[in-house]
Amino acid sequence: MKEAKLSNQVKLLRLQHGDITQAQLAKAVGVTRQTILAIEGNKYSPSLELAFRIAKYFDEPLESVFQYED
Amino acid sequence: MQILENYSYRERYLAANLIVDIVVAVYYSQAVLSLSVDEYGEIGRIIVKTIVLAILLSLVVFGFLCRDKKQALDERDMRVRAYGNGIGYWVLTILMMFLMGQFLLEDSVFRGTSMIEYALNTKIPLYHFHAMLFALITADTARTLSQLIRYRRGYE
Repeated sequence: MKEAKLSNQVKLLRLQHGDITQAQLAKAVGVTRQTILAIEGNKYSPSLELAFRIAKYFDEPLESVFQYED
Repeated sequence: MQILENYSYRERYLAANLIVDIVVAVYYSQAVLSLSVDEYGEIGRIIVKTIVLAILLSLVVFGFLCRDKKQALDERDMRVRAYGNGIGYWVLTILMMFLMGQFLLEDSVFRGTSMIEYALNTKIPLYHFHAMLFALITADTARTLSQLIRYRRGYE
Protein backbone atom coordinates (compact mmCIF):
# COMPACT_ATOMS: atom_id res chain seq x y z
CA MET A 1 0.00 0.00 0.00
CA LYS A 2 1.32 3.43 -0.92
CA GLU A 3 2.19 5.59 2.09
CA ALA A 4 -0.25 8.45 2.70
CA LYS A 5 0.99 11.79 3.96
CA LEU A 6 -0.59 14.48 6.08
CA SER A 7 0.54 18.02 5.37
CA ASN A 8 -0.54 21.24 7.07
CA GLN A 9 -0.58 25.02 6.93
CA VAL A 10 -0.02 25.63 10.65
CA LYS A 11 3.16 27.64 10.23
CA LEU A 12 1.62 29.78 7.50
CA LEU A 13 -1.51 30.40 9.59
CA ARG A 14 0.60 31.40 12.59
CA LEU A 15 2.36 34.00 10.50
CA GLN A 16 -0.92 35.23 8.98
CA HIS A 17 -2.52 35.58 12.43
CA GLY A 18 -0.13 38.20 13.75
CA ASP A 19 3.03 36.15 13.99
CA ILE A 20 1.82 33.98 16.85
CA THR A 21 4.70 31.99 18.39
CA GLN A 22 4.77 28.22 18.62
CA ALA A 23 4.69 28.55 22.40
CA GLN A 24 1.53 30.71 22.29
CA LEU A 25 -0.25 28.29 19.96
CA ALA A 26 0.91 25.32 22.05
CA LYS A 27 -0.48 26.88 25.22
CA ALA A 28 -3.78 27.76 23.52
CA VAL A 29 -4.38 24.21 22.26
CA GLY A 30 -2.94 22.45 25.32
CA VAL A 31 0.23 20.78 24.04
CA THR A 32 3.98 21.39 24.31
CA ARG A 33 5.92 23.66 21.93
CA GLN A 34 7.83 20.60 20.69
CA THR A 35 4.57 19.03 19.52
CA ILE A 36 3.71 22.13 17.44
CA LEU A 37 7.26 22.05 16.04
CA ALA A 38 6.86 18.36 15.09
CA ILE A 39 3.43 19.02 13.49
CA GLU A 40 4.79 21.92 11.42
CA GLY A 41 7.69 19.76 10.25
CA ASN A 42 5.22 17.01 9.22
CA LYS A 43 6.95 14.67 11.63
CA TYR A 44 3.93 14.09 13.81
CA SER A 45 0.31 13.54 12.83
CA PRO A 46 -1.92 15.01 15.54
CA SER A 47 -5.01 13.30 16.89
CA LEU A 48 -8.32 14.32 15.36
CA GLU A 49 -9.18 16.22 18.54
CA LEU A 50 -5.95 18.26 18.46
CA ALA A 51 -6.36 18.91 14.72
CA PHE A 52 -9.84 20.34 15.40
CA ARG A 53 -8.54 22.45 18.29
CA ILE A 54 -5.84 23.96 16.05
CA ALA A 55 -8.32 24.64 13.25
CA LYS A 56 -10.77 26.21 15.73
CA TYR A 57 -8.01 28.40 17.17
CA PHE A 58 -7.36 29.85 13.70
CA ASP A 59 -11.11 29.91 12.95
CA GLU A 60 -10.56 27.92 9.77
CA PRO A 61 -12.19 24.71 8.47
CA LEU A 62 -10.15 21.59 9.23
CA GLU A 63 -9.38 20.87 5.57
CA SER A 64 -7.75 24.25 5.05
CA VAL A 65 -5.36 23.57 7.95
CA PHE A 66 -4.62 19.87 7.35
CA GLN A 67 -4.47 18.14 3.97
CA TYR A 68 -4.37 14.44 3.30
CA GLU A 69 -2.33 13.44 0.25
CA ASP A 70 -2.86 9.95 -1.12
CA MET B 1 24.57 26.01 28.86
CA GLN B 2 23.90 26.50 25.16
CA ILE B 3 23.78 22.78 24.27
CA LEU B 4 21.06 22.09 26.86
CA GLU B 5 18.75 24.63 25.22
CA ASN B 6 18.54 22.36 22.16
CA TYR B 7 16.86 19.70 24.29
CA SER B 8 13.28 19.84 25.54
CA TYR B 9 12.47 19.29 29.22
CA ARG B 10 11.32 15.73 28.54
CA GLU B 11 14.46 14.86 26.56
CA ARG B 12 16.64 16.18 29.38
CA TYR B 13 14.56 14.24 31.92
CA LEU B 14 15.02 11.00 29.95
CA ALA B 15 18.75 11.68 29.50
CA ALA B 16 19.13 12.25 33.27
CA ASN B 17 17.25 9.01 33.93
CA LEU B 18 19.52 7.14 31.53
CA ILE B 19 22.72 8.55 33.06
CA VAL B 20 21.65 7.66 36.61
CA ASP B 21 20.51 4.14 35.60
CA ILE B 22 23.74 3.34 33.75
CA VAL B 23 26.12 4.71 36.40
CA VAL B 24 24.26 2.93 39.22
CA ALA B 25 24.09 -0.35 37.26
CA VAL B 26 27.82 -0.23 36.45
CA TYR B 27 28.71 0.57 40.08
CA TYR B 28 26.53 -2.27 41.43
CA SER B 29 27.78 -4.78 38.82
CA GLN B 30 31.45 -4.19 39.45
CA ALA B 31 30.87 -4.31 43.24
CA VAL B 32 29.01 -7.65 43.00
CA LEU B 33 31.45 -9.19 40.51
CA SER B 34 34.31 -8.49 42.92
CA LEU B 35 32.64 -10.74 45.54
CA SER B 36 32.96 -14.49 45.82
CA VAL B 37 30.02 -16.88 46.34
CA ASP B 38 30.57 -17.20 50.10
CA GLU B 39 30.45 -13.41 50.64
CA TYR B 40 26.63 -13.22 50.63
CA GLY B 41 26.66 -10.95 53.66
CA GLU B 42 28.32 -8.20 51.68
CA ILE B 43 25.41 -7.92 49.24
CA GLY B 44 23.29 -6.02 51.78
CA ARG B 45 26.03 -3.45 52.29
CA ILE B 46 26.48 -3.05 48.52
CA ILE B 47 22.72 -2.52 48.06
CA VAL B 48 22.67 0.21 50.72
CA LYS B 49 25.69 1.93 49.14
CA THR B 50 24.04 1.68 45.70
CA ILE B 51 20.80 3.25 46.99
CA VAL B 52 22.76 6.13 48.56
CA LEU B 53 24.71 6.61 45.30
CA ALA B 54 21.44 6.58 43.28
CA ILE B 55 19.88 9.26 45.53
CA LEU B 56 22.94 11.55 45.48
CA LEU B 57 23.51 11.12 41.75
CA SER B 58 19.82 11.78 41.03
CA LEU B 59 19.97 15.02 43.04
CA VAL B 60 23.01 16.20 41.08
CA VAL B 61 22.02 15.04 37.57
CA PHE B 62 18.32 15.96 37.75
CA GLY B 63 19.23 19.22 39.50
CA PHE B 64 21.57 20.10 36.66
CA LEU B 65 19.53 18.89 33.66
CA CYS B 66 15.94 19.47 34.80
CA ARG B 67 16.02 22.82 36.58
CA ASP B 68 13.17 24.47 34.71
CA LYS B 69 9.46 24.02 35.38
CA LYS B 70 8.07 20.53 34.81
CA GLN B 71 6.00 20.20 31.60
CA ALA B 72 2.70 18.34 31.59
CA LEU B 73 2.50 15.34 29.24
CA ASP B 74 0.62 15.91 26.00
CA GLU B 75 -0.67 13.40 23.42
CA ARG B 76 2.69 13.14 21.63
CA ASP B 77 4.48 12.46 24.93
CA MET B 78 1.97 9.71 25.68
CA ARG B 79 2.60 8.11 22.28
CA VAL B 80 6.37 8.24 22.77
CA ARG B 81 5.91 6.75 26.23
CA ALA B 82 3.73 3.94 24.86
CA TYR B 83 6.29 3.24 22.12
CA GLY B 84 9.10 3.06 24.72
CA ASN B 85 7.03 0.80 26.98
CA GLY B 86 6.45 -1.52 24.02
CA ILE B 87 10.19 -1.75 23.30
CA GLY B 88 10.97 -2.28 27.01
CA TYR B 89 8.35 -5.03 27.28
CA TRP B 90 9.70 -6.74 24.15
CA VAL B 91 13.29 -6.70 25.49
CA LEU B 92 12.15 -7.96 28.91
CA THR B 93 10.16 -10.81 27.34
CA ILE B 94 13.12 -11.94 25.21
CA LEU B 95 15.52 -11.84 28.16
CA MET B 96 13.06 -13.63 30.48
CA MET B 97 12.50 -16.40 27.90
CA PHE B 98 16.26 -16.77 27.59
CA LEU B 99 16.68 -16.96 31.38
CA MET B 100 13.82 -19.46 31.72
CA GLY B 101 15.59 -21.62 29.17
CA GLN B 102 18.79 -21.35 31.18
CA PHE B 103 16.98 -22.25 34.43
CA LEU B 104 15.45 -25.25 32.68
CA LEU B 105 18.81 -26.41 31.39
CA GLU B 106 20.18 -26.21 34.90
CA ASP B 107 17.89 -29.04 36.06
CA SER B 108 17.58 -31.01 32.85
CA VAL B 109 19.40 -33.82 31.13
CA PHE B 110 21.61 -31.11 29.64
CA ARG B 111 23.00 -30.35 33.08
CA GLY B 112 26.38 -28.71 32.81
CA THR B 113 25.69 -26.87 29.56
CA SER B 114 23.86 -23.77 30.83
CA MET B 115 25.30 -20.33 31.51
CA ILE B 116 24.08 -20.72 35.10
CA GLU B 117 26.39 -23.68 35.66
CA TYR B 118 29.18 -21.62 34.20
CA ALA B 119 28.33 -18.65 36.44
CA LEU B 120 28.18 -20.83 39.53
CA ASN B 121 31.54 -22.32 38.66
CA THR B 122 33.01 -18.85 38.27
CA LYS B 123 31.46 -17.88 41.61
CA ILE B 124 28.98 -15.05 40.92
CA PRO B 125 26.92 -14.70 44.14
CA LEU B 126 23.08 -14.96 43.92
CA TYR B 127 23.31 -15.63 40.20
CA HIS B 128 19.58 -16.18 39.60
CA PHE B 129 18.68 -12.90 41.32
CA HIS B 130 21.36 -10.98 39.44
CA ALA B 131 20.41 -12.49 36.09
CA MET B 132 16.82 -11.27 36.56
CA LEU B 133 18.01 -7.88 37.82
CA PHE B 134 20.16 -7.55 34.70
CA ALA B 135 17.11 -8.32 32.53
CA LEU B 136 15.06 -5.62 34.30
CA ILE B 137 17.81 -3.00 34.02
CA THR B 138 18.41 -3.82 30.34
CA ALA B 139 14.68 -3.55 29.57
CA ASP B 140 14.41 -0.23 31.41
CA THR B 141 17.47 1.14 29.60
CA ALA B 142 16.03 0.04 26.24
CA ARG B 143 12.73 1.74 27.12
CA THR B 144 14.36 5.05 28.08
CA LEU B 145 16.82 5.02 25.17
CA SER B 146 14.08 4.28 22.60
CA GLN B 147 11.99 7.19 23.96
CA LEU B 148 14.97 9.52 23.78
CA ILE B 149 15.73 8.49 20.19
CA ARG B 150 12.06 8.90 19.27
CA TYR B 151 12.06 12.45 20.65
CA ARG B 152 15.35 13.39 18.95
CA ARG B 153 14.09 12.15 15.60
CA GLY B 154 11.01 14.28 16.09
CA TYR B 155 8.33 11.73 15.30
CA GLU B 156 5.27 10.70 17.24
